[in-house]
Amino acid sequence: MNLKKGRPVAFLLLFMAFVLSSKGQESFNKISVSAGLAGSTLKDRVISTYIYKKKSIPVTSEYSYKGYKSFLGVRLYFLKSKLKTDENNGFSYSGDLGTFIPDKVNGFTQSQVNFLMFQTRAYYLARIHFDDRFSLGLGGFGQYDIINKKFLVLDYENNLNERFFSVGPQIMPVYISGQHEFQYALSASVFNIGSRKLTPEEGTGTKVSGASFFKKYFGVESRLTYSYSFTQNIGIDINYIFYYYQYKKPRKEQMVIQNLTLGLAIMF
Amino acid sequence: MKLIRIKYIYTFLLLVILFSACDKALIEPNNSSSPEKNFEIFWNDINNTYPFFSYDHVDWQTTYNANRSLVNASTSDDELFEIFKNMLRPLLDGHISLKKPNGETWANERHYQYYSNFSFSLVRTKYLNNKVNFVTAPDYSDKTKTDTIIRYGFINSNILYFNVGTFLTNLPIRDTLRNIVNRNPQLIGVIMDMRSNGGGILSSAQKLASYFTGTNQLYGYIKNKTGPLDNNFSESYGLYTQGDALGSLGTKPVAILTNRYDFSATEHFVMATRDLPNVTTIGDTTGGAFSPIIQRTLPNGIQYTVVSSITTDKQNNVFEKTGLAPEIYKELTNLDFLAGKDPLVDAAINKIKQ
Repeated sequence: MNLKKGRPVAFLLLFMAFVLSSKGQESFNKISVSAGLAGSTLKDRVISTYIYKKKSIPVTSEYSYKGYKSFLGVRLYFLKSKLKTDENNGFSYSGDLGTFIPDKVNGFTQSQVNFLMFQTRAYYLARIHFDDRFSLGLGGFGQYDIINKKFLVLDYENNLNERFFSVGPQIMPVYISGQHEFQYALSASVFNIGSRKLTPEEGTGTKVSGASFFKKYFGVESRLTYSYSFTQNIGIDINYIFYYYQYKKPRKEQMVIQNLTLGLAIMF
Repeated sequence: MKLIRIKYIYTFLLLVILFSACDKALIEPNNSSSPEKNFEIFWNDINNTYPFFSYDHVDWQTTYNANRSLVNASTSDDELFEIFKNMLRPLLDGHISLKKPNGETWANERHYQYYSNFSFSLVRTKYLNNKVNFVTAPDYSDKTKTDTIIRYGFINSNILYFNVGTFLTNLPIRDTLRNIVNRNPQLIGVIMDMRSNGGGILSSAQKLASYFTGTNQLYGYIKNKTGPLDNNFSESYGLYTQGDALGSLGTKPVAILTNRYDFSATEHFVMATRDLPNVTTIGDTTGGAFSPIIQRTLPNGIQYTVVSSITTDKQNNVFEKTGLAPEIYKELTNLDFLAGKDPLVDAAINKIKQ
């Protein structure tokens, strides 16, 4: 990496690489930016018992380090989507007596949930080598989620803002062969600090929060990554990420997000 | 690529397929048959918007658990209607009703056990000497028809008997009353017979009430359900009579006759006027349905009405189920009817003459 030619961000990345004291031929830093397609499925009983779905475009960026003794990384994930259900098609707040509430309020319908998710995840894994190509990472992760939902109750907009911090174990087998790399990461939350705050357009809101082991919150992520390096410094990533979480207060919510992304990676 | 062992590829692909299939395993799909869909919509809507679960001591989730298993793909709309009736019956709000596409309706039966204590023919023949004036207006729902809004006459020439049949009208009831009173300076009092007035347009009742309160007067509060959880309500908004500064009845004594079939806007009229020093309420408790009605239609055509707000008096008392009790309780029995007496009107006359 030539500092004179490098972009400003390279200073930071080189510093990180230096701090990490990488060893061996397979040690390298990597930064990637990916986008693709995400299929989201939401069942949040604070909103209703309906299932809301939508395909949208996620954006993710990640810094990772693969050292001889360890793996670590930080990932940012962003998803914005207008989830919809068809389970209440045909329902209307009107009848023989007239229309009481319009079908659309500020462009919003009773079938819609506006969803936004911003996720930050960091992991650190010890690396165990099985042979020249196959190794296994064992460690843990910490994750912070910002999730905002907006939906209608009668003609009032409701904001449901969720904040989750969770930690748990992660296992990550990695297979590297020349320009090809397969990586699979499975992680599940064990401990969580979470809050959900519902704020209607008018009047009193509701907030629930607390810390728990498994009881209130549970999240699991399964991630498969195939990387191909064109050169020592540039490559592509193809990711399939399956993410599920549930939170039980004040009413149970469940969400599945399946992502298929393609990204550009820079190694140094 | 040949260096990559096939077994690793298989393993990775297997993991993708495995987790792709997890979507439906983790979030159980909802049944999509028409009866089940209608049931879910009905339950969800009431779950998020009905404001009185705590007052009614009803756990709506328990209601779901008890009734959901009764609905499946072969449930007919008539059966669903019966299930909805059973679900709504414990909710004692007076505005709850169901209506089939063929027009068949159901409302909570709790009012049916009470007598109306009202016979206009008795009033007409025994108190008004068959001299009754009718004020009509186009029917609110069907303009091709005519509806009788007001019936009035005089008792002993100095007491005005004024019966308001409905507030579901654009007729200016207050102006009509004011004109009659202004044309009859000999009046010593007014009997406002509100018995069996099912309500109608709230502003019409608030305008009529202002003729007695004189000004725009606060008489209660209303707060709307704004979110899905039990405590998600708006701020309380004041409910006021709607005066026009064109003159009021003043301090002449007024008797308001009520019964269990008074609902909604009529109850607002009673709530707004009952605390005035010159007003006495006589008869039976009102029906207990104050909050504004909101009608819904399900995909299968069944319509239902459920309120989504809480109305209170100035002291924040809820009368949604209980209704407003009269100051003087009176009933019209069969013996009274046979004897040609209306104890409510008699009590009103006595009160005014006092």
